[in-house]
Formats: sequence, C-alpha cells, structure tokens
Amino acid sequence: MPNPKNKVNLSSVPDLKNATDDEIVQILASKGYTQNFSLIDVRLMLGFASVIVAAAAAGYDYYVGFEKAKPFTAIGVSLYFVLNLAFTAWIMYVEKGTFYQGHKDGKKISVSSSAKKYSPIYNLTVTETTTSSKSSKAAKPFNEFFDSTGYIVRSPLEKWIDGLISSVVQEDDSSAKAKKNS
Amino acid sequence: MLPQLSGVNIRQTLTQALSFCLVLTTTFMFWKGLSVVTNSPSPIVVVLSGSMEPAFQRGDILFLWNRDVRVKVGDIVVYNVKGRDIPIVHRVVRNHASSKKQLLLTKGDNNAMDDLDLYAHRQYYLDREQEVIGSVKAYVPWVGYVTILLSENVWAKYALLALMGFFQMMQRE
Repeated sequence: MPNPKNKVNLSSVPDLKNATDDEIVQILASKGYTQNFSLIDVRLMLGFASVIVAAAAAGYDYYVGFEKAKPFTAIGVSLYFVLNLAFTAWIMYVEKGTFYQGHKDGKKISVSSSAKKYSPIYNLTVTETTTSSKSSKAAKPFNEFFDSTGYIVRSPLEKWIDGLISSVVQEDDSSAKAKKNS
Repeated sequence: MLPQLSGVNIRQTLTQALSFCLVLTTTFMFWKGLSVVTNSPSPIVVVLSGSMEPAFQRGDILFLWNRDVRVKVGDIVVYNVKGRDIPIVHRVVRNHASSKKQLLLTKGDNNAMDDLDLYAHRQYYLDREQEVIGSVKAYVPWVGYVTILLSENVWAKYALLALMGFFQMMQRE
C-alpha cells in the first residue's frame, strides 16, 4: 500500500475532519476525477508572498540598521498585514471550507466540509460547478465512517459521497455516449 | 521508501511549511510594527540588573516610547552605549539641551554613583538622539524572568528544549 492509513485521535474533531477530507480526496481520485488546485494555489501564493515580504524586511533591517531601514520597514509591515488579511479573507470568504475541486467527463464538482469544534458531526457539501451551482448538503456523525480504534473506513464514506455526487451531477446523453465510445 | 511527491502531497507539505513560517513572521512583524510606531529599535526590553530597584526588578518587562524629541530629567530611559551590546535602563538626572541636541547624564536609582563609568572612554554625556532608544512608559513585573533564566542558566535551556522535543514527539502521527 502506498499510503498506510494513520490512526486518528477520536477525541479531536479537527483531526477527524482532516482525515475525512483527505480520504474523500483519495476516493475522488480513485473514481477518475482530476483535481484542480487553483484555490489552494492562490492561498499558498498569498501566504508565501507575505512570508517573503517579512523576510525581506528583516534582511534589509539587519543589513542597513534600524534608522535607515525605518521607512521600508513601515512599508513592509503594512504590506505584510494587507497580504495576511487577504490570506485570511481568501480562506474565510472564497474557500469557505472547500477542500476539493475537480472534474470528470466535463463535469466539475466542488466539495466542502465543516465541523463545529465540540460537535462530532461532519457537514459535507457537494456542488456541481460546470454551469449551475446545484449543491447537495448532508451531515453525518464521524462514527459512521470511523471504527472504534480510530481508523477511517472507506466504504460507507464512499457510498455517501457517491450518493451526493449523483444527486447533483446528472449523466447527460453526450457524456454517457463519450463513455461508451472510449 | 521515498515519499511520493504528487500534487496533493507537495501542497500539503507547503501548507505545513507555510503555517510554521506564518507563526514566526507574524510575531516578528508585530515586533517590527511596534518598533516603527514607537520609533524604537527595541520597543520592549527586559530588566537585567537590580540597579533601578525598587522601581524595577530583574525580570520586569518595560515598554518604551521614543517619539518625544526631548526627554525630561526624572524620566527613565533605555540607552545603548556604542561598543556595548546590552541596553541599560537608568534615570535621567541632568540634561543640557540646545535646539539641535540634548545631552543627558543618567544614574541607576539603586547605584551610589552616576553612570560615567558605564559610558565609553572619555564620554561624559549621553546623546539623546544617538544613544537613547526610548523612555519607559509602562512595565509588567516578572514576566521577563523566563528570558533571564534561559539566557543565564544552561540547564533551563536544555530543559525547555527537552520539553519541546517531548511535546513534538507526542504530537507525531
């Protein structure tokens, strides 16, 4: 097995949520979906841009001294916090819990999840993003796809996400034909 | 076995690296922001000696402000003498000011003598603009003692490292 599964701390909701997200990504990959990384790429770029600004400000201050670097430090500090704000806004208002975007046979889907801090419920949303934004929401407690020792169980999760996908993505004639021909 | 660097894995690694970097840079940039606002290269200092007792004790944290062009006699200032790395916190006891320049003599409240011996060779006054990095505006007692322990006690440093390593190991998947 290329990816031996990790045991998850069943008392930690964030750990459970992350493990479930990761598993869904793998399930979708195994179903032939191609992942689109644009959301996370923008997030990484915003984040690393701010880190580079901080590093440049630190380096300049170190080499020329506090007095000489002061105006640039001020610019760097403001720029850093603007970039950080953009980074946070991107996560809160654009990603909104979306951890997967991908496509198969010309159909795009987007998958997001959330879990409240002290509640063992996993909220899953699958949205069809090709043309419409038809979405399907569902919530399940984590114990439906984790065993009592903390390992994730794929089949109930797979069944669940299959159901959600088929409720938003209709196989129209053209894509069904394309499938037959290939 | 070598880890496979697929599109998912490389982004996961980068995300982890990023969150680590963001913790460091956010702290650093808050510090730099504070130093720009207060106009002081080191806006928060820890008291290292007992020379200002009973006002300040070892381990107190001081918040500095360096936007006043002239400091007053009686102010407590932090200064850096050229050639010495450690900033000193003492009270201003004498000042000579012109429109261009202000010269100060300082003394620790708990010291018998003024600071002449602490200045550089044949230096009789501090230069307000060149050497003072701020005057004390607020303080928090004791909080800074951790840094004193860490810098002066080798065992405290090892203990902290061991503790951090332990928690790191406990967290590993």
